[in-house]
Amino acid sequence: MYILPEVLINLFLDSLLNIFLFIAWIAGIRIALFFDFNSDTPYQYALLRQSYLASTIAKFALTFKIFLLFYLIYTLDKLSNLIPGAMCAAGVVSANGYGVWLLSVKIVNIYLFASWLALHSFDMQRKDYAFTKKKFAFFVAIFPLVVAAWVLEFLFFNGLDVSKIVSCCGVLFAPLSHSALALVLQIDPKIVAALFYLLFVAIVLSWRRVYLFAFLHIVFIFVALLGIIVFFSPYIYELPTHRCPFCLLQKEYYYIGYLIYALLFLGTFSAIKAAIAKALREEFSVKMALVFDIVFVAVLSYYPLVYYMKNGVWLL
Amino acid sequence: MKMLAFSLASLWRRRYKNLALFFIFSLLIFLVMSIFLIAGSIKNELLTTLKALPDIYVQRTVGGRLMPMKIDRVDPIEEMAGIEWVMPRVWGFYYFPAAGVNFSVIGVDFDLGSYKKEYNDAIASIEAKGDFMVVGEGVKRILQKHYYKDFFNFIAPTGDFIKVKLAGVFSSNSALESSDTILVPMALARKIFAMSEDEITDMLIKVQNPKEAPTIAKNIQNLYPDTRVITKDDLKVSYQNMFDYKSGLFLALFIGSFFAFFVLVFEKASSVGKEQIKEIGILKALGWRVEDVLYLKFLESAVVIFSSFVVGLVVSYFFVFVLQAPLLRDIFSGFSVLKPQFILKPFFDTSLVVTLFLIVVPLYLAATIVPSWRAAVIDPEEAIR
Repeated sequence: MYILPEVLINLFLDSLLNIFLFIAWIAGIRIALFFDFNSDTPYQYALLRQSYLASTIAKFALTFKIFLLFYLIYTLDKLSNLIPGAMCAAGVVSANGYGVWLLSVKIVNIYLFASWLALHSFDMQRKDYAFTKKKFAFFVAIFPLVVAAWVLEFLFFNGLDVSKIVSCCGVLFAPLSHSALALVLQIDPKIVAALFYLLFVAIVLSWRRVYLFAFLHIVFIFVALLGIIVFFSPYIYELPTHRCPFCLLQKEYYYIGYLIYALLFLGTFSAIKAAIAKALREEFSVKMALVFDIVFVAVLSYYPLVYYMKNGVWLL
Repeated sequence: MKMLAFSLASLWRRRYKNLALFFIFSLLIFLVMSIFLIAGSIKNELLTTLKALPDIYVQRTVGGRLMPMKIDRVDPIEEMAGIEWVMPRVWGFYYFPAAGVNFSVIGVDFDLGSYKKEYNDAIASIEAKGDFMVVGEGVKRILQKHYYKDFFNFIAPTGDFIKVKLAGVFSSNSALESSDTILVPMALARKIFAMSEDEITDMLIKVQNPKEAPTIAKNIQNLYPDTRVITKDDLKVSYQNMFDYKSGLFLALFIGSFFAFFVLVFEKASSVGKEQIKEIGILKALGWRVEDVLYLKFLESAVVIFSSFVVGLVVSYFFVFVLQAPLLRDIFSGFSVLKPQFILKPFFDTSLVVTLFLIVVPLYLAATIVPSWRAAVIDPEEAIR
């Protein structure tokens, strides 16, 4: 365990928010089971009042947790200064067995949290509490994942050994290493780039069919991440051998990674929100998702294009 | 926007209660931020001095304690590959009982110059003969206090008095390290510490390629197994650890007090007065929904915490960099009488601000959730009655 102010704050904030979420969870179970808008018992009245508390807590805590993920990534990046061998967050994440799980669970969580927030905002627009039961059932269901992320975070920071040498991203994302990840990384960057742009075109064309649109976006998350690792990142670093999704969060690259990942999240999530809206027969335009997608692709494409203009060659 | 104006008016109606919260939180943010700023500023300063330091230090230890070594060890090391220069040093601490302080007495070859630019500047300006010394500003202050205007009597371990002329004062960019320094000629330093002619305290080494420093350090260790070899990176890591640890420790202490403030805010916000109950009752009777009242309450607490955050931040910058952090800086600069008169140099670190924001703001907002909810679900009919 290493006392770094950032680590303490991560653990402290997560604990604080989770204590509140736990209160909301208890209320949420009752509401999910017994909420009935048409009944007029005192119990229903109490539940209705509690639903405001629970949803306010959840709205506040989940919104914060989305921002906290970016702060966690920042913390990991900062830790790379202390852990020998690590040059960016990639090394820190691989420092012990919990890192990859922690990051994966947290990323899945922010999509779930954002979905809950979308559900909540649709519910608040209605006067008949139509989705209240649904939204609390959903909240009760995702709470175990919140706890899982919390436990993983403690295990990860507790198991962090600042004297143990870890691998740097140059090793972890090299196509020649023998890991499951390496298998994916061996794909020709040209194919990945082609896939990335084809999928983007397919998304733009499918904007009328909302479910397909959202599904393609979920695929797009993975393709975009792969595209960043094998195709775009060498152009950002202007170095053909450097493929890493974490280094671009650093100061040397003007923290561009935070913008890129935020745009990816906003774009893909807006598409998911549109699908949720359609399922609930509510209104949410797909325009938002399209705008974020286009900006995302434009920012990423900027790097190879400028590189080609300056140097007259592609890095393939 | 209208909602914001409304919440400001609402805050103003209960201004004493809210001002109290505002002041307490401003003070808290100010304190934490000041400590971070002082630690950050000193760390920056140390890291700059670190750049000027030589790459490797070689000391001899006997039974884990530093001992002088023979000067003939210099030549074999100088002949190793990759070494630019080796500089033997004679230095030590001299305890001055009248003031209860330790001076760092450093032997300098006044003909050859030193590895430090500041020392060289001091050396260049001095033209004196015999036993003389050049002192740091802190030393000069102490000496004058004890009526040593232009000379000082060192007492050698043999008991002899050594009268040394004060030839000049040198200043340094980094006062932190040189305030307690006395520069004297090599031979005089040996006399003060009663060392023989062929003894040195330690060696400084500059290597041609800094990346080779760890390897060269290992070779020296193999050549002289009784030495302790320290590289610049070792120093850097230990500085980093020390300051992260110090400010982390403070934060850990403060988290305890944050919980106390959490309870305070919770209490303050829960005590909904009769007036306020009536007010919310009327609002609800006028058609406000529960979420509107919640939103109003959220805005109120957000206004309080954001304004105290900004005020705390600005005041701490002013306190640390304009007033030079009276009282608080002593925690970091140590308790020695020979306190260096260093200047805290301003710097801005976004992550520091974000970090502080993340400690305080969610805590405050979380503390107000339950009380706000309690106020918001009041029955209008019951409240107005």
